[in-house]
Amino acid sequence: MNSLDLLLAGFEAALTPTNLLWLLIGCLLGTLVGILPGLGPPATIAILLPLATGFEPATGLIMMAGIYYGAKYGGSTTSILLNIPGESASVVTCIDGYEMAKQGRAGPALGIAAIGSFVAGTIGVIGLTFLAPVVADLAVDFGPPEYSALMVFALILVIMLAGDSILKGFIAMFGGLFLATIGTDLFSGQQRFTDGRIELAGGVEFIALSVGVFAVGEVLINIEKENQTQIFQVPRGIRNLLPSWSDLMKSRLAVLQGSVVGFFIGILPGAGSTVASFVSYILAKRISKTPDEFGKGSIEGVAAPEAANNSETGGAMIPLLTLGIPGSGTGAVLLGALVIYGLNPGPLLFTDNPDVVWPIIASMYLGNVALLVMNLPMVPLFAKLLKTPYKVMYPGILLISVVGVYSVNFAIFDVWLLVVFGLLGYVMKKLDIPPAPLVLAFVLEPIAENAVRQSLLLSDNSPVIYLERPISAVLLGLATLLMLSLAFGRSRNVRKQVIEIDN
Amino acid sequence: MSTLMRLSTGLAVATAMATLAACGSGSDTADDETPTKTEVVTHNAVGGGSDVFTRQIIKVMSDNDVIDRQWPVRNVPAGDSIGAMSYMIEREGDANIIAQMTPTWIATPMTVEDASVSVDQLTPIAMLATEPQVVAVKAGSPYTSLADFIDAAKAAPGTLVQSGGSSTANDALTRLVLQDTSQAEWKFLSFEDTGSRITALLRGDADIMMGSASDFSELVRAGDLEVISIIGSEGLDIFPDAGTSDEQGVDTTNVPVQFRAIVGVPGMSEEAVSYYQDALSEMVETDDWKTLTTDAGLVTDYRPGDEFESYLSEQTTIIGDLLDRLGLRMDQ
Repeated sequence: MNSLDLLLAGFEAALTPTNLLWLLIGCLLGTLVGILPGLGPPATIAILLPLATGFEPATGLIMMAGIYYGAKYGGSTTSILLNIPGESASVVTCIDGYEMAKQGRAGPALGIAAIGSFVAGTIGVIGLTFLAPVVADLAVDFGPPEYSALMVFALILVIMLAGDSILKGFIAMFGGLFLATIGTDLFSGQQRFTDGRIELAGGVEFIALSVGVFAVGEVLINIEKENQTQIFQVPRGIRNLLPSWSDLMKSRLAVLQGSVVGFFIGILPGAGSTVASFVSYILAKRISKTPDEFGKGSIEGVAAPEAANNSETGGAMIPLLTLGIPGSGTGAVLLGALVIYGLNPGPLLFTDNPDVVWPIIASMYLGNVALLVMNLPMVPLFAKLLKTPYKVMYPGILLISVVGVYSVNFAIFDVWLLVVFGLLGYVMKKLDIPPAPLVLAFVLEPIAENAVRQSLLLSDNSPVIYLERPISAVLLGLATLLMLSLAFGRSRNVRKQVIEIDN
Repeated sequence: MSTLMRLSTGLAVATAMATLAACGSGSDTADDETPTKTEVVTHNAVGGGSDVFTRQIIKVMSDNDVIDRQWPVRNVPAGDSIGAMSYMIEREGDANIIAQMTPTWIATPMTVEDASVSVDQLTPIAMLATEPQVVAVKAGSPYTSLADFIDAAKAAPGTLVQSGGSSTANDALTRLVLQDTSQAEWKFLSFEDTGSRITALLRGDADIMMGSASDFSELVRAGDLEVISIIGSEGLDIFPDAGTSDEQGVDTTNVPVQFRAIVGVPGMSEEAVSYYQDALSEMVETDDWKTLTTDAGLVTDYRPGDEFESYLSEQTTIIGDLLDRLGLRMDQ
């Protein structure tokens, strides 16, 4: 049987009333936990595991997969409306999404996020259906030198996120790199910058950093402002609450590009949706006809990262289902669930248990449709939330932030971190230093540091290892080109900044 | 907008934060003698090895009517077992709180300066099983036994590579013992996740890896990996062809043993302890437990109470000495 026959058989198995019911419940729960920061898909699946282990494996896994990609749909909502990135992949969505909301275009932003997610999610599953065996090797081919090169490439892109001021981009990036070094060093077991605090042994909690710098910082800045009457404009009429035809046409390339980038980066364990989201954001800016709008409320700037984030799901399922290697935290939970069901995830899963694997894949097509149907009608409702007066809105944002951060580890320490990072976000706003490079560099640092140290251990400290391996050599070549274009393409700008600093 | 308005928003904000801060620190101190609503703590996030094992034994007990309801699992991953132990110690005397522990609970507090928690504060309930380390190589590797690998490492010191976890993880400590007793020397490549350790082996970046049986079983079945040795004296049914390190003439007496056990909060009543011991001793006799241990490469080693306590102190000495030599012992 070829993939298409197997998929059709999978649809047949997935389309039972029980499976569909649990798929919808999974998608709905996923959307809810995606909207709220903190309690993510792994925690939600954990709560439901005792229930789900009583189901047939296919049914339980269909529900859990629904939570997984449902959360990705929901993740954009708080980013756009409240500047709260609930997960690392939503950080980039905040940049243009929240700008759009401030300009009264929250509806189109939420709408394009849902539509882009649907298209990309479906493209990702198509990739999973037909390309899984072919591209699974990519997950094995990427070793420490390849990740090192990919991270060089990614960190340069992170600086580019800073917009016009490369210098401020550097400052933000180094801040993020530093914060990520706090914790226990993997290689020596030594504590770094933890001041002996057990709470910091596992590193700084990501949600405390991202929500602090983005959401709390934004609230603090706005409290200070004199004119409070209306920060958000909410247009009347349903027509203005959804993306227009021209919005869709403008975003189509960004969605397609994001889908492809997200799928391939998703295959690489560890890199995941965060890298996918901002790589596709920068690419979208490069190929856009209106790159100047990026950072100021560009609809393509929402479409591309949201697409990448959702097609990543399809890619990330490939190493999980073909090798038994989870690419992310949620992947690890799904893997655990497979083991509890007595199914052993590995290279033989597709041949030994087609009756489980193919219904899950089929359910992902159905889930994407369900989520689009569920999410689009919600868009006008969510967009109207912004009419809430600020004296309710700001305490509300802080409440969501505190509850979200606390619920990750049930640690009060993380709430204090949130306060500290909120102040940091405020200061950065005052100095006009962009928060996105800081938060993204924080996510990339461990991958980059580990990969570089692993590579040098393998090569006995010879950097030649990066050029000996073809994938890393090509990536480093690309990074060099990018660096050159950055240096010369903006030389005037950089020089101007340097002069300004001298004065 | 008036200053008053801004002030009130600020106040509301401060109150919201303070209220929440207060909510978190409260803990219920039930002093029940008998368990009524048991909760099992694990130091892993959902999906981690200990988390999955904990859920598996709860399922076995519930499927076999040893317990009448599924006990919920409480994941406290902060501080790699330190958070979980703090959670237990804060709930002193509570008959409902037990935990599934591994040797990480012994090792981690030793690596932290002034750690306020340690395993000997907890109440030992029972040890369930040991999890012998399995040594794997890529299919077609020149090494067919652990002894082969050690000989090769001796011939070319510092060139061969073992992929594994952090420097204080069991596989890293095992390498230390083996290098010491054999005078061989090889590199240790740390990865945060098991998946990356395995792909390093498949890619050829690493020559050898030590892990639990479940890490390798499917890739062995698919013909991608081979198991060349099982550390210790007992073989595993899941890898019938693999010899033990004892058979291969490798001395592993001082290698710390990976085990899985159940402990209670400090000062747990004898009544509660025997309640859990009854349930667990019944569980290890079920067929589902036997299937679980065979598939996961575990060896049943049921030791209740005092027997477990003396085993714990034995392992504590072994691990403590090793960490001391690594220069990672901070608690003394």
